[in-house]
Amino acid sequence: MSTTEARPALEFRGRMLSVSLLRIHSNDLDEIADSLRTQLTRSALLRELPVALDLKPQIIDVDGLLQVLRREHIKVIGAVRGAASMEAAVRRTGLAVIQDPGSRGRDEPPVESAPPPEPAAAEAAPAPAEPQAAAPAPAQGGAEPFRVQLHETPVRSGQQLYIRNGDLTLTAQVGAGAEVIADGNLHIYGVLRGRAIAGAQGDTAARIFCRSLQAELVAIAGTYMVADDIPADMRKRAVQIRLDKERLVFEALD
Amino acid sequence: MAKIIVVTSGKGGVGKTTTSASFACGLAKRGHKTVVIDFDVGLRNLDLIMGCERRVVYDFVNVVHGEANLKQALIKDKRIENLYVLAASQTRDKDALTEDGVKKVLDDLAKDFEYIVCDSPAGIEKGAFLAMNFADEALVVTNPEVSSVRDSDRVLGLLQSKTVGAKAGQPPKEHLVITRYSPERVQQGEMLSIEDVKDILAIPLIGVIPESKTVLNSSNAGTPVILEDNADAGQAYEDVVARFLGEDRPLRFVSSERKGLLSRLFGD
Ligand SMILES: Nc1ncnc2c1ncn2[C@@H]1O[C@H](COP(=O)(O)OP(=O)(O)OP(=O)(O)O)[C@@H](O)[C@H]1O
Ligand SMILES: [Mg+2]
Repeated sequence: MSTTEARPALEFRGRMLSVSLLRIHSNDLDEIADSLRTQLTRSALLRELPVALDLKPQIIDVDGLLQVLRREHIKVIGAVRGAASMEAAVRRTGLAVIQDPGSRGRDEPPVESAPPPEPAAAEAAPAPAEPQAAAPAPAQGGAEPFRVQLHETPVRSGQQLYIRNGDLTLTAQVGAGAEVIADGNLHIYGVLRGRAIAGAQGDTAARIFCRSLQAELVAIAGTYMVADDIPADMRKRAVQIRLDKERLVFEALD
Repeated sequence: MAKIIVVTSGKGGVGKTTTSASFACGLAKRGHKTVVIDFDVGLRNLDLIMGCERRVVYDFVNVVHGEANLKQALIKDKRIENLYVLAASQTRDKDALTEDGVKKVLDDLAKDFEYIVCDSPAGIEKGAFLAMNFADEALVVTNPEVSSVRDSDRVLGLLQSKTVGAKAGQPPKEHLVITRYSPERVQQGEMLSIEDVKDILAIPLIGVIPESKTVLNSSNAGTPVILEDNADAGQAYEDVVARFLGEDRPLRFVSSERKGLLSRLFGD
């Protein structure tokens, strides 16, 4: 190996850095702001700390969250890969999506029953190698061809099926605690007991069709509804769900 | 070719070990050379239920680590010809098993046995994964209650995606075993019905084992319940084995008809 050659102007290094993880348990920005302020008054050291976000809620206003954090001078360098529904939203803000090798399963409890917050920055997570951090430009959609994916086996509790840039046709069930996500529409011919997220990249024209609606959560383009709020007369029926001016509309198909 | 069968559930305490012991006994009783392995390292109790706990010298972990050979570690059942037990270690920690080590032991056993029954620990961590990883078939044990069914759904997902078979395009064949079933409690709405459970898990049902006091008593006595004469639960396990081997048998002990005078007098 020669050491006499001139050093290039830049170089990608595979070194691992460690950054702190900022785990967000709530999607209530006011609550987050409050909690953040309390924790910062307890330890000023947390300010200016570079962090990677670990977003637990399935749905959260990422732009709003970044504003809250910036106001308190938290330096966000990216977000670890979490729910696929969040990934697109994170990329749109220009943040890097980081693979967290230490992350466990992706089955997170529903928004309402999220565990109580832990102290921020309590865990240090290894950051990705630098080349990864210099992530490719956010996917803008349209680059890959739109596809329709057929899936014929049950999506079981703890599993997640994400159809990037396409529709999903599922001829089996979605178990409670399972999650199906598509950038386009969802067609579910088995019983839907888990979560269904259509229009994951923000397509407000996306729809959810299912043969028996018993979902824990449904969402289209970020507008969501949990089981308790889904109209009771739609339960266990064949239903179409669409978005009408930021409101989810349920229509029985039978 | 030996067949590897995992008995698994996700949730703890649902009856995996009870099922493993009776199922292995049933296969051996029908003349099939069978070994049952305790994968629950650190919490061994298969040997207790099989009644061979006082004859354990070497265990599964010893064999995996090359500290003993299979001949030394296999415990021959005293009641049934063709039945062997490979006990778990109580003193080792959960990480004592390795994927390569387990594979080698299973390969060696496959040369000699027709059926290898793997009693899985609860959970979905490494121990449970190693127990299912090489399985050809799976008995998924579920109690008729929501949390147990949910965990079983989760285990089914792992069987279908993470096992050696699944990765090679041949996932383990799944069978549903509903245990601790109580028709009275289903009627009172305190338990899920057989139909509910089948509907949620969407795999074929191979048997329903009724809730029975005999199970605890026979476990304490070191006798797998299938060997008890006149026990509902034992006969239900007998049916499971028969169905597993291809026989067609109607479900028994699933309706809550009143007990006859005789059975009330003599107990079940
Ligand atoms: N059909 C039944 N009727 C009544 N009790 C039962 C029945 N099946 C199992 N039990 C009891 O349930 C308890 C747990 O059974 P067992 O040890 O077989 O479960 P397991 O799934 O192996 O548990 P673990 O997850 O701890 O390994 C025991 O006390 C056993 O006697
Ligand atoms: Mg057990």
